[in-house]
Amino acid sequence: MFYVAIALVLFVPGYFLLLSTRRKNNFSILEIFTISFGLSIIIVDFLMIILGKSGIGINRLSILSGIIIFCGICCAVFYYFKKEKNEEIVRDELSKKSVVLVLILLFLTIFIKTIYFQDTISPTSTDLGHHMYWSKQIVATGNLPVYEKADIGSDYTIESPKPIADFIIGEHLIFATIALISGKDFISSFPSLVLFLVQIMSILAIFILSREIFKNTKHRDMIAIMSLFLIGPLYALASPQAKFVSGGVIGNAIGNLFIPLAMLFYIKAFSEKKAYLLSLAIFATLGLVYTHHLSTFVFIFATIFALLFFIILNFRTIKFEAKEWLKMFLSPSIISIIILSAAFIFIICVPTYLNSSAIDTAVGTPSKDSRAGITLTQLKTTAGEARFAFAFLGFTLLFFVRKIGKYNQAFLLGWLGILVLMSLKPDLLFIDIPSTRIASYVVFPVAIVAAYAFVRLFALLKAGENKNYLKPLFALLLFFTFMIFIAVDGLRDNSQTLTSNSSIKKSIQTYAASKYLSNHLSESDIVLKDHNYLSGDSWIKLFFMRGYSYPLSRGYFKRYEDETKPREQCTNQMISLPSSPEAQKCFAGTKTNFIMLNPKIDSSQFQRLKNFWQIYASDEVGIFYKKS
Amino acid sequence: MKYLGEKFIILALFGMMLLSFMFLSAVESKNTNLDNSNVWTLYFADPKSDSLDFMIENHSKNSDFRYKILVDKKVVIESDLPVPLGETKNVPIPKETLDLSNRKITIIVTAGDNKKEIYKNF
Repeated sequence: MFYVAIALVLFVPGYFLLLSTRRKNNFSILEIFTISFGLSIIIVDFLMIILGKSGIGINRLSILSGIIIFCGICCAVFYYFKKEKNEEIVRDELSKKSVVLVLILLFLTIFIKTIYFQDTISPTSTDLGHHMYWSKQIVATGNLPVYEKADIGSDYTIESPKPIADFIIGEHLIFATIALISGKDFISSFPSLVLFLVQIMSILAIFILSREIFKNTKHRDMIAIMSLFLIGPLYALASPQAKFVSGGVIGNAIGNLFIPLAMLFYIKAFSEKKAYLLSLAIFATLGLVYTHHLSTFVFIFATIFALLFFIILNFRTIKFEAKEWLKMFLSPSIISIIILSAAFIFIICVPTYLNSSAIDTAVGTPSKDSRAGITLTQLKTTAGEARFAFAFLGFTLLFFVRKIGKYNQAFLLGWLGILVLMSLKPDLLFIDIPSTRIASYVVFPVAIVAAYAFVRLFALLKAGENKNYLKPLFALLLFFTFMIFIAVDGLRDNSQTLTSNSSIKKSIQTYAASKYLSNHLSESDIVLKDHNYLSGDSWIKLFFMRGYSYPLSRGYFKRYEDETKPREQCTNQMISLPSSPEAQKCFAGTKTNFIMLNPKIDSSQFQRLKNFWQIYASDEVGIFYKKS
Repeated sequence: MKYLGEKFIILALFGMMLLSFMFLSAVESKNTNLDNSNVWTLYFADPKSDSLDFMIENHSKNSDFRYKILVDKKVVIESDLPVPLGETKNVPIPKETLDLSNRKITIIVTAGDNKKEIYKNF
């Protein structure tokens, strides 16, 4: 049922939307496949939002009906217009050799990632636990989640929940939909498997985007295959690759799929001057807006920079181009989709991060060292040294190459240029976001530009238009030397990340203890758990389903010493010093009466107190009960 | 045989992902099965009441358990209890037989070298 749910939710709706445009013949089969996946996520997100907001409710029947009705409407549109116009099939597919190379690279990519996931596929990561709480809440309540959490106030009591901007609805709807249809438990490998699939599709998206960007060049397929090589089997594990999957970095992982898809639509739309492609581009951007704020932010900056590059590189023809853009933007389909998008964003479902405080924290002079930019060495490490070296060369070459297409050139330069600038010098752009997070986006344009440089360099060296610059043997030796340099660097990066440090054996003990506790809790009981020494603790709330802040949590110790922001101390005091007067006030105010902790580290302070019972003991978890 | 071109990539990708998913699901099932983790757990049947009934949940290879009931530091009950792998045994303690006033009742269970204890203060 899980595999049926995946196909139904992640492929079918997008395919039918593409079908309804009657232009699917303008895409290659691989493009249709990849685009269908991305569009499906967005369509299902919007269907879920409509079901939730309309009062119909979110359940298996309603979402299945929603998908079927949507596909039916798309079919009707397709058949209605098919009679009027028959499009000629113009497909530009891969050669036999290229297909074999792509298959080998995909096999290696999946194989390497699968080896890595052996130790990390089980549900343990903190971020994934937080995200899955919201997905489970959608399934449990049949409504869209209200993102809020309750903090402990200065009077030691638990305050009323307040809205939080940390989560975005698109990160959770897709998992809720698959769980609803398949009946899969959230505390399983299914969320990571879905993210793994998203990542493979984002790699395919980079491949099809590379083919599109370099479609006017002789070595188009070679560049795309080289991009696949640089983003697939090489550097396959470090952030933002497999580590983002095992770490549950959902927004980034889905954002890394939507960004290349949106770029693909925009490049195609502007190059071919087709309004339906622009409407797909806007739709993909809207999907990004509802999925991840940072990816949206990066994408907006990349687009602005692409526009700047376009104006600089095409200054003479800009007036003519602007007229063409205006014509496209004033077409009925684009006006309709812009109005619908605006209505969705500002009336139907406002993204949680669109509030002044969230925007203030992302924009402005960098407030911490971690937001003041990374060094060039750090950027090289993030991008992969070999990839970075070729990307540097490619970036330079791109300024002087005209025949790849002016839009393709501008988007690629803008995308890579802005990410390098945002990572190294965020203060120039008034960006106040952790620089390492921004730098993680750089690997995708770096892979494409490096692939271009590599192929272009050898095409130039091997044979100029009419003259040989190098002897074939020397060119071959040089080719293999560079290939070995890239492969060794990429595989070394993999081996450094491939460490066996699974915490699942400890986490399942946390889950067993949580299950025990959830069977004995009453409405008035309050649980406090420790984040420092318990494994998989962020998943505990999925057993209780009593709010995002339930159980209370003792966070990392450094959080209690934040000089920029006064933090509540109760969660630390109640575990670290339970007999202190401060802790006593906290126990009284919060009414905490169950404590979950690691017995090897934290049990002795409770064993000395007469009003605490130890009621549960396993190797990794101890539970104490405070007698009233 | 007809050349499938890009369709072949998609079919092969489906196959590879399916195999990978099945393998990882099997790994996950094995990893999350407590019976493979060689652990056992001790807990009170009712954590909030005065009841002293306790449970031993065994997911380890060792099935020979020994428990002691201590009133303060004095052993009042001691017994062996076999708990096979994958089973949970409930041990009822008739608290009427014990003098609980102002006492700490500790239950200590050992299995081989591994020892765990839980307690209630009265």
